[in-house]
Amino acid sequence: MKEMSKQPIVKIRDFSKAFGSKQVIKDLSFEVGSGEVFAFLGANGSGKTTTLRCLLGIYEADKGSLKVKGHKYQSSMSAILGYMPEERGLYLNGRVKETLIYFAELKGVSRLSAHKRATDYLQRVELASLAESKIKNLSSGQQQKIQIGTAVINNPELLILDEPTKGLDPINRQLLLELLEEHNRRGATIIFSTHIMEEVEEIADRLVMIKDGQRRLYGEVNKVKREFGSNTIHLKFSGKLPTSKLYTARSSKYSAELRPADAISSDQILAFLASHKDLSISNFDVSSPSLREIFVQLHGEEAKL
Amino acid sequence: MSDLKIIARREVKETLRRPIFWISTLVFPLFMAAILFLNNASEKALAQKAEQQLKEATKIILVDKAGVIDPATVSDKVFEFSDNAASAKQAVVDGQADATFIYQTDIAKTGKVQVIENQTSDGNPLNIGRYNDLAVNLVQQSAFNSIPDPLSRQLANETLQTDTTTYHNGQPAKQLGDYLAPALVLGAYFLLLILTPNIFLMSVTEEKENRAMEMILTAVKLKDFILGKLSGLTLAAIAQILMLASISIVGFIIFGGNLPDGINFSLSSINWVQLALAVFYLLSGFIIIASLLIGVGSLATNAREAGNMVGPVIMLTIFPIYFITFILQDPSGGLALGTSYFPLTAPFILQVRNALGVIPTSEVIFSVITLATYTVAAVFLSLSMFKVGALDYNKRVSLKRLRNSLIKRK
Repeated sequence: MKEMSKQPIVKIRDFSKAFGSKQVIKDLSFEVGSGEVFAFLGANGSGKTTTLRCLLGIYEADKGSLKVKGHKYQSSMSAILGYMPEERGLYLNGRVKETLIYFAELKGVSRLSAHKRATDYLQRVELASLAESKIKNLSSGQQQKIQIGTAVINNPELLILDEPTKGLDPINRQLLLELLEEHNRRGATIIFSTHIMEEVEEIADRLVMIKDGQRRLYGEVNKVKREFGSNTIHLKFSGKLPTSKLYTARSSKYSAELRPADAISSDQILAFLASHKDLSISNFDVSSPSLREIFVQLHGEEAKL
Repeated sequence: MSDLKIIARREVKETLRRPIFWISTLVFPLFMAAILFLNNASEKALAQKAEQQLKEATKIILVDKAGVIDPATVSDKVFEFSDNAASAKQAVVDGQADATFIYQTDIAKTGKVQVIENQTSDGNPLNIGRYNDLAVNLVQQSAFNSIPDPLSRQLANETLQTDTTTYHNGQPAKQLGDYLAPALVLGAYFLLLILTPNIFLMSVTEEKENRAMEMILTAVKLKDFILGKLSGLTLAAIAQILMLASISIVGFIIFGGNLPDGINFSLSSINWVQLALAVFYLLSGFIIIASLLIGVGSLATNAREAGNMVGPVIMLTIFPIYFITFILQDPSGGLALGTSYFPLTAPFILQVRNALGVIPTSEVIFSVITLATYTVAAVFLSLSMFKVGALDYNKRVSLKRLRNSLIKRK
C-alpha cells in the first residue's frame, strides 16, 4: 500500500453543493495522489456522484475548489481523463469499434492511433469478432466492456470510475480489476466509488468515506481500519451463534465479526463461545474490523449495502 | 481534428444511416410522383371508359328547339332528331334510346342543355353525366362550323398563347421567371420545415436516451457539442435538399421538361443579390428553428416526448401559410411587416417578400441584422436550455425549473 507521498493529482477543498434546499455536500476536502488507487465511499445518495460531477465540471460547485492537476477541470483536459459515469451510456445504434474510435478522437487521440487502440482493446477484452456489431446487439456484460473501453481508450492519466463493477458478473468483474491494475501499473491514478468493500480492500491504497455530505473517514486503507479499532473478532463457525451482552455481532451463516463491549476482552468472549455446545468454531482471530463492518457501523442499520 | 468537426462528421454519418432520412428523401418524392401518376392514369382510364361507352351508344335523340345543331355535325347514325321532347324522354325511360339532348329555345339565355340518360348497366355512379360533354360539344362544334372565314375558324379552334411585356414606372417589369429562383429557395425552406424536425429530435435526444451525455460533457465543450450537432444536421439537411432537387430535376426532364405557360427562365434572369438574400434568410431561418428544436428537445426524455413539446414551434413557423394570400396582396402592409420581424415567422415572410422584390434596400439591411441577431440568440438559448436538460435522463424539465435555471445563470 502506498502513502500519499506524491503530488496530488486531485485536490478538493471546502467543497459544498446543494440542490434547492437539500445540502448534498458540506465542506468536503480530500486529495488524491498521483498514481494512487483511491476509493470514494458512501451510502446511496451520500453525494459521491455529485462530487465527481462537480470535479469534472458537469455541475458547478456552490463553494470550495475542485482541481485536477492544479486547475479547474475543463473539457480541454479530456486527453488525461478516463471517466465512467454511474449512469452508463453508449450509443446503442452505434457500432462497437466506431464508438471506441469516436470517444478516443474526442479525447485528442489521432484517428489512426484510435483505430489501433480500439483494435487492441477489443482483442484484450475478447470482443474483436464483434467490432462491427451494433452495441444494442451485445449482452449487458459485453456492453459494460465497451463502456470501460471508452474510458480507458486514451490511456488516461486519471481514471474516474463511478461504481465500475455494478452489474458485472464475477468474470467481468475480475477482468475489470485486472484492467485497472494494468493502468495503475503504467502510472494512472484511479479514483473509484463502490459499495463493495472487499474491492476496496483488494485494490485501494487510500480512501475517503462520506456520510450526509461530510467526510467521516480518510486516509490509507489499513490505517483507517486500525484507527477504527484492532480488537475485532473474526469468527468462522457452524451451528448457532449466541447473542450476548459481551459483544455486538454482525454475522452471516458461517462467519461473524464480533465487536467486544467496553472492558470485555477477546479471551472472555472466546471462553463464552466455547461454553456453547451447539456452536463449533473453526477459526478465531482478533484484528482490525473489515471495511464492511466500519461502513455499516458508520452508516447505521439503515444503510443499504 | 477539432471536437466540433468530429461531432459534425458523426452527425452526418448517423443521419445518413437513419431510415427516416431516406424515407423522407426518396419515398416522399416517389410517393408524390406515384400520386400524380395514379391520378393521371385514373383520369385517362375514366375518359377512355366514357369514350368507349359513347361508342357503345346505339341511339341518342336530339330535340333541337333552338335550331343550334348543325346536321353535318351529327351525321353519325347514332343521332336521331325529334320534335317531341316528351316522347324522346319516354324513349330513354323505356330503354329504347341511350340519351336525349333537349336544346330549348332560350338556350342562349339559360346557357343550359337538358340531358336525359340511362345509367350504365354496371350502375357505376361515376358514369352519371357521361353524355354532358357531348351534348355541349355538339352546340360548340355547330357554332364553329357556322363560321364562314377559314382563318377565323382556325383561330377559333386554337388555344392561343400570350407573350406579355409589362412595364413598371416606365421600366420593363419583372417576368414570372425572374421570381422562380427565390421562390424555389422558399420551397426548399418549406420542405426543410416539413422533413427535418423528426431527424433533429432523434439526434438531439440520442445522447439523453442512451445516457451518453455525461461522458460527452467531460470530453467536449457544450458549445462545440451543440454547434457540431447543428453543423452536422445542417449539412445533412443540405444534402437532403440537393437530393430532392436532383430528383425533381430528373423528374422534370423525364416528364417533358417544360415550365408552365408564361414562365420563362434562364440563368440571365436570376437576380443574384436577391438569390443570395433568399439563401441567407433560408439558412438563418433553418438555424433558428434547428436551435430551438435542439433546445426544446433537450428538455424532453425521448424523441416522442420532444415531438410533442416542439409541436407549437413547428406550428408557428408554418403558420404564415394560412394568411399568405394577405401577404401576397399587400406585401408591404402592416401584417407583412409585423410578421417579418417575429422570430419564428420572419424567415418565411421575408423570403416571400424577397421573392416578390418588395423589400427596400434599407429594410434589407435591417432584416439581415435582425435575423442574424435572432440566429445568435437562438443558438445561445439552445445552449442554455441544453445545459439545463442535458442530464435529466428520467424526467422532463419543467418550465419552472427552466425559468429558474435561466434566470440564475444570468
